[in-house]
Amino acid sequence: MADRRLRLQKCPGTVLTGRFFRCWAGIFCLGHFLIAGSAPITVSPAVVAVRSASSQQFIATFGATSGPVNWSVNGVPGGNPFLGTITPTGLFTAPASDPGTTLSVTASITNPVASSTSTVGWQNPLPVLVSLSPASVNIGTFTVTLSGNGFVPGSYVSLNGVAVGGTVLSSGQITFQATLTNAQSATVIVCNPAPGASASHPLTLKVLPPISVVVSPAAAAVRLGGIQTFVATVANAVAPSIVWSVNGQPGGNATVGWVSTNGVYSGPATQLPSTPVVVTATSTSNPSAYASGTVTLQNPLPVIQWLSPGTLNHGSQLVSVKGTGFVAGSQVICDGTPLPTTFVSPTTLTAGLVVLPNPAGSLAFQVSNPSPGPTTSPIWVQPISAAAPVVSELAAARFLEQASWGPDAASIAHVQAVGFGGWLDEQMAAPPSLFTPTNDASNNLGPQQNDFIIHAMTGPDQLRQRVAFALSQIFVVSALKTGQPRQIVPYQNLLLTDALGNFVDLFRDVTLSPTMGVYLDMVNSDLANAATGTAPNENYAREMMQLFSIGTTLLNPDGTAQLDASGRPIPTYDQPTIAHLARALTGWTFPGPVLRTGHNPENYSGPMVPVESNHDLGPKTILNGQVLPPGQSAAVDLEAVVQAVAQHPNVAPFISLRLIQHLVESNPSPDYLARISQVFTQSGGNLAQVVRAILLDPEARQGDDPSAAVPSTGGHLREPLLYVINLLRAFYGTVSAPNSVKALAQVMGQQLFYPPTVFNYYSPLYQVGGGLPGPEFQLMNSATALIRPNSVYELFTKQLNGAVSFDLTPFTSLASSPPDLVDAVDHALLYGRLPMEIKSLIVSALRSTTDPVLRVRTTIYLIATSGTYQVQH
Amino acid sequence: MQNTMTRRNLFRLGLGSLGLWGAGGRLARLGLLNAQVAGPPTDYKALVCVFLAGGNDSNNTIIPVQTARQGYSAYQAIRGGTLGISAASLGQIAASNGDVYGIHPSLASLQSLYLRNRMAVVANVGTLLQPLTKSQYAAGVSGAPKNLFSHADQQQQWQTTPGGITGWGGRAADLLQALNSPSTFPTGVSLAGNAMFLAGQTTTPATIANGGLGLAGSDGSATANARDSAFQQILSFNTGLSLVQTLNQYTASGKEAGRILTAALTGGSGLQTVFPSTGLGLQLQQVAQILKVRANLGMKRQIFFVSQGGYDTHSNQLVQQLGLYAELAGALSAFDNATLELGLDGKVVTFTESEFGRTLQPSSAGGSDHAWGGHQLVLGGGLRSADVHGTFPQLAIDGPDDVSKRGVWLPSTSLDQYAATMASWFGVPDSALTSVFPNLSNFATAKLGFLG
Repeated sequence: MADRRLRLQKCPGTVLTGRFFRCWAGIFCLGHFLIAGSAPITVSPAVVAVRSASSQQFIATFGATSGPVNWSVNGVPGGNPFLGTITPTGLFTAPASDPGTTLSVTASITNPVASSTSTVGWQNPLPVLVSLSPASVNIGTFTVTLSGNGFVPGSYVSLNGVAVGGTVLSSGQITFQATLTNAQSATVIVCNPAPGASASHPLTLKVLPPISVVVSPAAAAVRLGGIQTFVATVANAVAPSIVWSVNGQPGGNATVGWVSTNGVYSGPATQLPSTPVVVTATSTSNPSAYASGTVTLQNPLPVIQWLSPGTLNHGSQLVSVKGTGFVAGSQVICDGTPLPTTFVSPTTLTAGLVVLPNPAGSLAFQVSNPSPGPTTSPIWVQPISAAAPVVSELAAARFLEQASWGPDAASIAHVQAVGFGGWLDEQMAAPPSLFTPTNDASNNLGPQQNDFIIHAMTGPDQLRQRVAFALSQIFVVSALKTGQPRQIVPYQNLLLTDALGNFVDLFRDVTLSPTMGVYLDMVNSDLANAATGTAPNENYAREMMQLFSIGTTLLNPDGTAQLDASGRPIPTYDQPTIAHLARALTGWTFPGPVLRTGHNPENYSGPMVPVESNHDLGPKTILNGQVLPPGQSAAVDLEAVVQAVAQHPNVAPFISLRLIQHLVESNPSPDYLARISQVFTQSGGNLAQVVRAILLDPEARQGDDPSAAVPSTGGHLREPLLYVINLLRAFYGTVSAPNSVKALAQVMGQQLFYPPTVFNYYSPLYQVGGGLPGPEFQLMNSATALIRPNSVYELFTKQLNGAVSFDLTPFTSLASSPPDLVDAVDHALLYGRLPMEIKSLIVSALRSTTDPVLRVRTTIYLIATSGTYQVQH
Repeated sequence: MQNTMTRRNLFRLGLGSLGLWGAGGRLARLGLLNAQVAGPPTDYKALVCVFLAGGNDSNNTIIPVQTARQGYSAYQAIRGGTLGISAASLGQIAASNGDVYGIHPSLASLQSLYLRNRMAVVANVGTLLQPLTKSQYAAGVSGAPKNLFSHADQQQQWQTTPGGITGWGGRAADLLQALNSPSTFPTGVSLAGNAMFLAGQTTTPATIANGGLGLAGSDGSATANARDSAFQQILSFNTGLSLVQTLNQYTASGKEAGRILTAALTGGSGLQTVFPSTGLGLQLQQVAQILKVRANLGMKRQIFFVSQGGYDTHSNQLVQQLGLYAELAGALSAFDNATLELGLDGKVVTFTESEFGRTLQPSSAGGSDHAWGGHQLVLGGGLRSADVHGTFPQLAIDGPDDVSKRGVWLPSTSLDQYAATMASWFGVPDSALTSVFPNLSNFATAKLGFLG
């Protein structure tokens, strides 16, 4: 009893002096002794405290009288469960619960009749603490459940000597919540209240630092369909279990990928998610304890499994590449050359391919996947059919009509010998036919016009010249304003030099060309001047976007317009953009000494140079809201503008369409344009690759097989210069220098170097009846429709008054047989494609004369002026 | 390729041309018009559109000297010495309300036409879909046409009226070509290459150019005749290829127009009037020659299109305008004389168009930039009176008429009103004006007062 009292003192918040017991003892001790002095029966102990459900042996002492001793509790013989029970031998068992009244244990005898009563003080049981759950907790607020026995309503928990309350769940369980802010070993005891207040033995609760979760690796690159195991390390956790989630989704989902209960992350199968992916481990015991690993999803590793067809034949075809890991943007590479590729599914790509004679007898295929995680598949080798037809004469001729100033027998034979690819490689390496540098400031461009014709007739760099000629009709300057040889020569040379380079370099060079500077007024365009009331010139800023790079509305890669929710085209820029761009492009003057102020005198010997004091230093908002910070130099602003425009996604379809229209056809299918846009984008604007893809595309090559059907909407009208030079080359014409060939093109509506406006001789958007694009038809009207045949007449009947000459003897020798003559001219111009009905009409007309020269001229005239020849297919 | 519908249809030339000159189409069209045009009139009328390509800076064409709204100083304050024309050099003209304006010194011969009631000015005309205020424009109200300030788009819109895909001259020709029956010569004639202005739904213009009236080598010999016969038959052969067929249509149309014009001109005498040997002078001289043989051609209504380029004066404008306006004034004056010589006084209306005016505020390099409304000139003996019609803008940067803080005038008269006035004089009935000019019904006044 004394021991228990010592321990009871450890329970806080209660007076633990045993006052109740002592007080009772004092009172009843006195009574006991009063009675005991003469009583025939006494019960001892006279006063006693008994804990809930405990037993106490009472002993009755009496004289030698007979009779049994009867025990009762509060007058109830033998007692009952609410008052306690007592056996005939005086063993008292206290009730489990507080009886709520004073208990009296009475022993009675009948002979003599006497009784004696003991007073019993009921007390709560002693609490026994067996275990804590959990036995350890983290710093902060926690809940612990205590198990044991002897708990009663009013039991409470003492933590480190401080009463923290608690909820008694049963006599065997009590739970409490408390807060500790230091890691320590805390003492837990259970205190029972009075009566009989007592304390349990202590148990130790371990208080740990906060839970920490670490996920490793912190960042990982995962390919689509690939896996990555993350490991979560949990410290200080009572229960170390965690839950894995992806972007907040427990277990993840198909869009962002899945994560197993072991932390194994599986990337989505085929589609890159639009949002960043984060894999998170969260402590189950404390959801605010978590850690994440960042996943950078990458395109899968492509693998080629097979190709269809299984054996490749020579010629132009679409190849199906089967395998795994293909994505939108995957590109098929054949012998190192990217092919125009269409993504069909993650297991199928199609690619346009021209198979050329090849000593290896096979082609090596790979698939490259784009960023993120660009990678290339292992090589797949596909055999080429041994039965290898060479490039047909028609195919070679068609190819040269698109890629050069026109075929003749020698160039056709060469293409047949080296193949399309070999010819392209040669052309890419051929030295440019540059114009001779000159300081001539006159307005006589005759020598340069003559040179242009001579280069076209004889230059080795046919492809480069054709591409430069096309570019000259996109990046237009006109001799109507810049008509001096010193202006035109460096500009033409710029286009020839950059024709097969990178678009951004071409665009920058054009922007800094002083010839363009004069033509579109960027040269000496200075920041706004309050004194003179002038503003920066907007001319170049506007046209470089509208005409040279991106156009007025947003485009899809296939050239179709992007539409807003109302179905309207979306403008690429607005007037304020132009005004800001004009300000960004201020401060450039002619090449010459570095100036602090003012302008250099006219000079076209190099790119324009900046005069910083003439440059607008304010901030500018250019395309797509990009802000050029204030204070940037003229050169930094200009490069930012060049990059912003050149990197705009419109550039690929915009430029690709124009090059296709100049080289191949007016009305390319959206798929054709999309394939070329893809090459443009994937090659970073590499014009050599773009031109190669344009010329080798199956749509460009589909007329190579004379038996194959071609779309009725194909082809393009030969523009005047092309028309004349094609005819000259087809008949091995020789041209004198100076020559008047240029005048023929001029009367047909194309004065060399003199397009009427920055919109060129004709618009790439011009449509003929029925809405079919036909740019070159903008030159056609009731007059030019007759001037074209009349020009053919001038050429072959009058030989341009001696400026050109042809050797037509191979044809005059056939003149006695009109059918043979017609076949020969058809072969020279159309490679056998003139319709039979037209041949018959010509053969009939030839009966009007027997003069061999007249017959030859008439035949050439009628075939060269036929729509079948004028419109190149 | 499909930049915008507007751009797509740029310069589109409807090629309904082969059937176009056939009698069937004409009679059908006549049926539509029977009520309004009761029988072929005996009169003759011609419209001549003079397109000033590049965007004429009409701020220097007509300059306020002393008007109720402003004086020369308003102009001088902004144009100053960079782009300003000195007050002393201006030729003065008075409007009916007493306002005095000056005309550019190179246009002196036009001043004399004005003084003889043979020329009028229509102030601040521009492309508009509906009446528009400065605040509505700033708020993006949909009354402004698409792609303002762009040469190609505004050239198209001035020729088609905003939103149109055929030329307004061509649409007038569609309605009135029946009056020319039975002639098969096109109602529209361009002396300046392809002209969207003349491309109608059912009519295609003739384009006149040297060397384009017939086939070279057609010397009447048996060989030449056989060649030409085969040439014609080849044109008729259907290859099934769209662009080949298109070309064949052009060629056939050209041959037919050339044949008719050549026949009409055969044996005719020359003009007395001397034209300046300039690009525009030669074009208007050819127009006058065609006017002279109008009876041979069997024409009652003709629409001509001529053009003078070089107006995109981003730099060195003062010098450039001297030459441009001298060419313009010389050609227009000679043509006015020719109409008198040909007995067509009051039968021919000549008018200017230009894709936009230019900023009143100068640019670097002594030029001006693309703007919006501009002043136009109308010439002919049939004018009600010489006057400065319409509302002249207030020449102030960010003033009530400036929409872009550089002196860019919000048009006070729409192109549709300007054009409808001339089309009405030409014979388009009032009931058909809104079909020829779909924007016209948005404006309170359909026709301006200067004609009819």
